[in-house]
Amino acid sequence: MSAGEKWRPLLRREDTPEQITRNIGAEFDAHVELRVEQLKAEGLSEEEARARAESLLGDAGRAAELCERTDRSWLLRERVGHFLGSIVSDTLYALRIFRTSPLFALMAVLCLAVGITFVTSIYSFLDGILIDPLPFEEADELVMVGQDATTPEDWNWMWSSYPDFADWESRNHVFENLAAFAWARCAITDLDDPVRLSSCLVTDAFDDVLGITPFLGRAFSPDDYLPGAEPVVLLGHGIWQRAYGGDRDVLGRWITIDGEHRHQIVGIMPPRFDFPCFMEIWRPLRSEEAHPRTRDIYVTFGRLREGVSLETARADMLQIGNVLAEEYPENAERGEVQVVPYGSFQFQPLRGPLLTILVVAGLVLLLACSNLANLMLSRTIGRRRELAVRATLGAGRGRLIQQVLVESLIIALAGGVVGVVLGRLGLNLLLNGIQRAVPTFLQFDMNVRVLASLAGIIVLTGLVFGMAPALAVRRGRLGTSLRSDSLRMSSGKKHTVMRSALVTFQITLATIILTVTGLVVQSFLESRTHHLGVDTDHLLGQYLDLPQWAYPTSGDRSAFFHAGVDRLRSQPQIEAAAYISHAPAAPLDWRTGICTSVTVLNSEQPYVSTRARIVSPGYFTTAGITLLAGRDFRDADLNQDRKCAVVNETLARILWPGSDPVGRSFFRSYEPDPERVHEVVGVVGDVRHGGPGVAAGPCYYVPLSPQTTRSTGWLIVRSSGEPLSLAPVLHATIRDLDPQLAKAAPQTIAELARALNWRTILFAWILGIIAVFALVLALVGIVGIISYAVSNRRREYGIRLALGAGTGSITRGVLRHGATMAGCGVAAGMVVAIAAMRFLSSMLLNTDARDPIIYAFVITFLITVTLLAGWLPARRIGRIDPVEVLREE
Amino acid sequence: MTRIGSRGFYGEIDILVLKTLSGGESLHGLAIIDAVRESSGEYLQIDDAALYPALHRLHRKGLLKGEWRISDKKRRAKFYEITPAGRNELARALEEWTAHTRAMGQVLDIQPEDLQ
Repeated sequence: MSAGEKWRPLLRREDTPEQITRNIGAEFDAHVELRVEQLKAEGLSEEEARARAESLLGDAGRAAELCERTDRSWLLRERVGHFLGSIVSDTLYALRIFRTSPLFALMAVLCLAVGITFVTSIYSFLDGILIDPLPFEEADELVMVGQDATTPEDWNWMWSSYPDFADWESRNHVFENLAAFAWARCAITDLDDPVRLSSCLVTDAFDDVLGITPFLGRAFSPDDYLPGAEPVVLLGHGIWQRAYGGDRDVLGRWITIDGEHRHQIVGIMPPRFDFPCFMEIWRPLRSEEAHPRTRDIYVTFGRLREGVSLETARADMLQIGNVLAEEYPENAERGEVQVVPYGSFQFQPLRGPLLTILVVAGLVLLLACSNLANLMLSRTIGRRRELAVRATLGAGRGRLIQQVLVESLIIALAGGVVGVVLGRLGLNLLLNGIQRAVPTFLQFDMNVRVLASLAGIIVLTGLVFGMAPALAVRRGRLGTSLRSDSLRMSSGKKHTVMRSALVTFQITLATIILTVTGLVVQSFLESRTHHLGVDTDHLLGQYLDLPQWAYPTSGDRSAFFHAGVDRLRSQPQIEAAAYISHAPAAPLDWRTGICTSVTVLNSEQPYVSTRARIVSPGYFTTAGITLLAGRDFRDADLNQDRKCAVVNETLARILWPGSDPVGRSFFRSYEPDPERVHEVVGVVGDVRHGGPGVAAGPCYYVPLSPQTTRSTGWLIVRSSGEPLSLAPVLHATIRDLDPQLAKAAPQTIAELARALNWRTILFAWILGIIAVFALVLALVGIVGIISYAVSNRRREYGIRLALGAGTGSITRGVLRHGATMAGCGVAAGMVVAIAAMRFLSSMLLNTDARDPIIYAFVITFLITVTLLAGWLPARRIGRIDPVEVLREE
Repeated sequence: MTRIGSRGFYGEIDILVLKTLSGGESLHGLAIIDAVRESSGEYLQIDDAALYPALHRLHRKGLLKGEWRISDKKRRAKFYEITPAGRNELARALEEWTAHTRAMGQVLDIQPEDLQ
């Protein structure tokens, strides 16, 4: 037996469970053999000794099992401990390395932080819109039912009348339940400071349709809807907090509404609930209070019956609508009955743009990751020697990869923490920017889901950018690196090509992102100021609602509004003042007043569905609406027997195409009715009430008079400076007129227009942020990679200089290389961007998708940056001393 | 002779093994059994099947070192040796054991001379 054979079995490793089992078996065998020897020495025969030894050992299987259990759990602890130990030592090692090259660590963390900040802001946003937009139970079964001659995109709400709703409810076969909602103005007048609220009249089962239960108290019971029942109300969470300080004892309390009616509070609605739109108080609608078929001021919502598809519901309602149209001729004018999912009605227009944003966001993240990958790659190449030494000293490849991954993860973690903090700030900034422009039910917050998703993204990013260098460690021949000295010319052709490709790729990404975001943001900036037809910048409006009990006749109401306008005009700070029944350039929702369609008639054109506005003389000048022909209203028009009107451009074109409308007349009715004839005295420019992207639609204006007046409307004032500075004057003037009148806060017309535009504003903000981030990342990436590459070739340049090459030729070479990369990148990016813009043009409202200025800016900017990034380090080439470089070798 | 199996007093085998190895020599399992029997005046006999799980437990706790060697009978066997941690544990266990037996003795009214 050679020494080797004798000693080999003694080196028993215990690294695997199999080795452990084998060793335990060997130990027991050895025990038995030793015992046999011992017994034989005592005089037993071989067989007797073996039998005795076996019997003495007893239940060997059980004993071995116990040993194995102990050893295995030890092995597991060893392995975990070893792994944790290696992680700790890798972490310490990485931190030491970061301390020695803080610039790299800082750059990497910043890069990632920028990327994470971006993802945080955008993701929190998308989460608010896409993932959990509706605060209702099983919101996908919730549909809006209504009649509308126009397309749903133009109108947010579809209206119906109460009798229609009642017919739909009794005749349909597809809805679990249907509920109608009507906007009604009301004021709680028994408070120290009376408040005016948007109140909602609801029909039975409205809570079932929405799947909502009160936050406190109870919902309405069927008895509450019966004639003669005690009047009850549900309060919104907001008004409960504001007016009653969140006092739980208000349940059961009686409050005075509109000065006379006593109502009992039976419940408080949950915090986010303001359905259908900015409501703060809900009251049961009793059928005796309901309006006739001609008043389409109700919106109807329903919950689809289980298993009923949208198509089935549509077919059923269409058929019911057709039957009703035959029974009631006035219904025929209103168009088909439509069934629209509530979610899609609110969010359908968002889907395309949001997908665009997601794609662009992905591109930006790609940009951030490519930056990091490059940073890590450059470093790993620089660290080839170190890694080779460690490998030679026995570090397994797995350990080296683990080391690189730990480094990446530390950077990812640091970047992630900084990014989440910055992202939180970014989200707040974003929310301030869009304040009051988005519906209140959209909640944007960093919730647990967002944080969990972020953690995932952070770890994934760490792995993605850690992978490239880790693979380089594995594939690279470490031995070769160790043998070859570090004095090689440059980091090798493969890496140069890779780096050039990376730069080109980044330029391409930057081109796409900057072009697309630039065009969209530009379109937003334009749409904000132009195209609405109203000068929104210097207008402040006060919504007023004259209670019936204080202003019983239309003469009282008209006199109040005229007096208000006159008093405001006499104030020195106010440039102009006027009354209008509906706020200009405001969304047609329940805050700004319902606009019902009015049918007009003249000899040439049978029926035109149009909007109507009541204005005081001087309104067009105040609002900055262009007078195209004829004249504005005069005070004299108010008392004349012949009714006059001003039409907008669109109505003029429809009624009298190609001829002068001034002096012509139309009927404000279905049939020619001499009582309702209006003479056109002027033509004004269109006002786009649906937003800059939506056609204005026909509209006419009539003067404010006792015959036309409504109980609601807006007093509009024009300022020379900041419109909100007029709020105290406006407030005081109205208070002087009627101290009892409850008022909402004055609103600038610009703010109302923003609400109209909230989708555009949302995207402009998101895209604006994308553009800034892309810009930063592209700059860091391009400048970083190119200047690193140039300084990395310092030795090569030194030697070329020593061999007689001129500084100029080297600089030219660097610039030529940069120009090639920039050219390829920009060209590729432009092709993609132009293609993308075709899909996006629907979002672009009024911008020409081929706006040359944006394209020229992006091209010039990126090429300049790339050339500068090469030129700046190349400038130093001239200062290289070849002798010094050669001596370094 | 009393057989000490896996159902002996709590920690009985552990303390016997540690005490036996506390002299400093390396012993394999069988030698430990023999040593215990001898030093107890042929009275205590540790069960083979009970010894090994105890040895492995003490080994993995770091109280013993284990090493494969060639025995004087020219056989491969795993030899165990006490570690400094094992000595500390032994000291602690002896204290506990003494207190325990003294208390048991008082309760059972066993005089020291009975133990002679």
